[in-house]
Amino acid sequence: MKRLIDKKYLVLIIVFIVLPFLVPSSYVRNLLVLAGIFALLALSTDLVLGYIGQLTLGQSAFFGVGAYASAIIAKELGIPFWISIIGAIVIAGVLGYFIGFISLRLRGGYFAITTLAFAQIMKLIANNWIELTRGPMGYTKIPSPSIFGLEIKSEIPYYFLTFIFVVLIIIIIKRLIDSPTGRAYLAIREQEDLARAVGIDVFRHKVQAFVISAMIAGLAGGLYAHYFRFISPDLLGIQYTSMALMMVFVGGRGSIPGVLIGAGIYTVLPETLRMAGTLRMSIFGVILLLCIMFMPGGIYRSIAGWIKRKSKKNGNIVQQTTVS
Amino acid sequence: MALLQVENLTKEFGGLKALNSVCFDVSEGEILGVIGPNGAGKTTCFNLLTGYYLPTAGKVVFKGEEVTNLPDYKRALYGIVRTFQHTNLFPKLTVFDNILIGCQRQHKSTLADALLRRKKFYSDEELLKAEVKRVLAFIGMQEMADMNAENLSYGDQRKLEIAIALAANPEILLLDEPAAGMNPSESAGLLKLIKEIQKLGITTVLVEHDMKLVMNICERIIVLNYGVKIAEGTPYEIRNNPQVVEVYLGKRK
Repeated sequence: MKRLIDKKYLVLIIVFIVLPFLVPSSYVRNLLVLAGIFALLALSTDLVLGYIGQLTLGQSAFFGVGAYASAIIAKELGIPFWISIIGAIVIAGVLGYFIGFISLRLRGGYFAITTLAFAQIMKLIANNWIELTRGPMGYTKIPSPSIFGLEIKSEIPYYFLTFIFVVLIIIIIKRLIDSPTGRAYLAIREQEDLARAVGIDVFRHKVQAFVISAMIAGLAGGLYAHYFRFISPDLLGIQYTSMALMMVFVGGRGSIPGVLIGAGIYTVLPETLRMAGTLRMSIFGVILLLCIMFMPGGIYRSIAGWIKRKSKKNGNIVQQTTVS
Repeated sequence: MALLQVENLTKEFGGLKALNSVCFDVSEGEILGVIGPNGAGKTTCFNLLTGYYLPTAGKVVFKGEEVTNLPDYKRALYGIVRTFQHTNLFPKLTVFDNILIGCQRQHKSTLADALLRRKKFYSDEELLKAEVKRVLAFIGMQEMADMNAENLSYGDQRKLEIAIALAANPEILLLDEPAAGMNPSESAGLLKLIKEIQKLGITTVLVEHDMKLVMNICERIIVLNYGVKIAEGTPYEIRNNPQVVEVYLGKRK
C-alpha cells in the first residue's frame, strides 16, 4: 500500500503549516483562509470543466446551498459543525444529482446555460424563502466550529481547519483521477463517441463527476459560512461561479497544482494591487486577460513546460497534456 | 448459429429510407465485407449494428440475444466493438493511455477500491497494464507507447484505433473504412493486421471502399445500394455479379 501523502509533498505541507505564522497581519491570514475555501470551489469546478470537459456555470449554486445548509442545520437544530458540514455535502450532492441528471443530457453551450439557469433559480429561492434563509437580509450568527470545547474562530485555527479539508480533497481528487474512473473522465473529455465505443457509460460518469463536484462545492460553502458567520443570497450569484472559472482557466484546467495556483493568484493578486487605487480591478482584469492569451493551457503548464525545456536543452518539446 | 443476425433492419431519416429491410448473418470467425457506392447505407448499417443509432424497424441479434435497442456502450460491453470512419482516438493522450482506456471494461475494482487504494485496485491496475503491453506487442507499437497519439503518422493512428478497439476485448470487431486515406503499403499492413486479428478468433465486419483490400481479405461480401442489399457472396461471386458491376461501373453500352 502506498502512503497517504507522498514524501515529495511534505515540504509543501510544511510550508503551508508555517505560512500563517509568517504573514504580517490578520488581514493577510484572513486572505489565506479565503484562498483555501476558494481553492476548494475551484477544484470542484475543475472536476467538471477540466476532467469531463463540460463548462458549468452553476457552481455557485452548490457553494451557496452548502453554506445555507450547514448554517441552518447548525444554528436551527443546534447540531455541531462536524455533522452540519456533512449535511451540507450531502444536500449539495443530492441537488447536484438532480441538476446533473437533467442538464448533462445537453452538450456544450446548452449545458452551460441550463446550469446557469439552475443557479439563478437557487438564488431566487434563497432570496424569497424568507422563513428559512431570512432572504436578502442574510443569515447571521452562524455558530463557529469547535473541537474539544475549543472554538475554531480566529484566522489561524480556521486556516488549519480549511487546510486539512483542502489536503483531504486533493487526495480524494488525485486518487479519483488516477483510477479507471478518472481515465473514463479523460476519455469523455477527449472523445465522447470513442469512449462510448469502448464501453464507457458516458452519462453515468458525467453525472458522477458532477455530483462529486457539487459535494466539494458544498463543503467549500459550509466552510465559508462558519468562517464569516454571515451569509447572504449573493453567495449563489454568478460572481462566485466566474471567480472559480477564472481560477481554473488562469491556473490550468485539468491539473490540481494549476487550479491551486490559480486560486492563490486570484485571491492574493487583487489585494497586492491595492496600491494602484481605483485602477486596481482594471489592472487585475488586464493581467487575467494576458494570462489567458499567452498561457492558454494555464500558468502551471506554461511554467512546468518552460522548466522541462530548460532541463533538456536539445529543443525536445514536451507537451504536458495528461493529468499532473 | 450465426454470431450476429440482422433481420429486416430499416432506418428512416425523415422520409428517406437510408436502410431498407436488410437481412444478413455474420458467422463466428469470418471476415465479412460490406461495400456499396457512396450513400448506399453502409455507415448507417454500421451505426445500427453498434447502437450509435436505433433502427426504425428490424432486429439485431447477437449470440441469440436481441440487442436492437441497447445503447452503444452496452453493446461494447457485450463484445460488439467498433472503430470510426474518421480517425477517432484520444489525440492528447499517449499511445499507452489510449489503449489503457480501451481496456477499461476489464477493470473490476470499484470506485471505493480506488479511493481507499485497496489491494484490489493495485492488482487490477497491474493486470490492465499487462493487457496494454500485450496489445502493444500484438500491433507492434511498443516503441511508440509514450508518444502522444496526435504525433503518430496517419497509418499508425489508424492502427492505434484498431488497437483501442481490440483492447476492449471484442468478439466482433466492426471496422468502418479502416483503409480510408491509406497509401498502398499502409493498406497492405492493415490487411496483414486484420488477418492476424482473425487468428485471435475475433470476427470482423468491414465497411470499406478499398476494393483491393476487400477482395483480398473478405470471405464474404454484402453489397448495398440505396439502402437495399443487392448481392451477397464470395469475392469471386461479387466480382462477377452483373448487378454489382452495374452499380459500380454503370451499364455496358
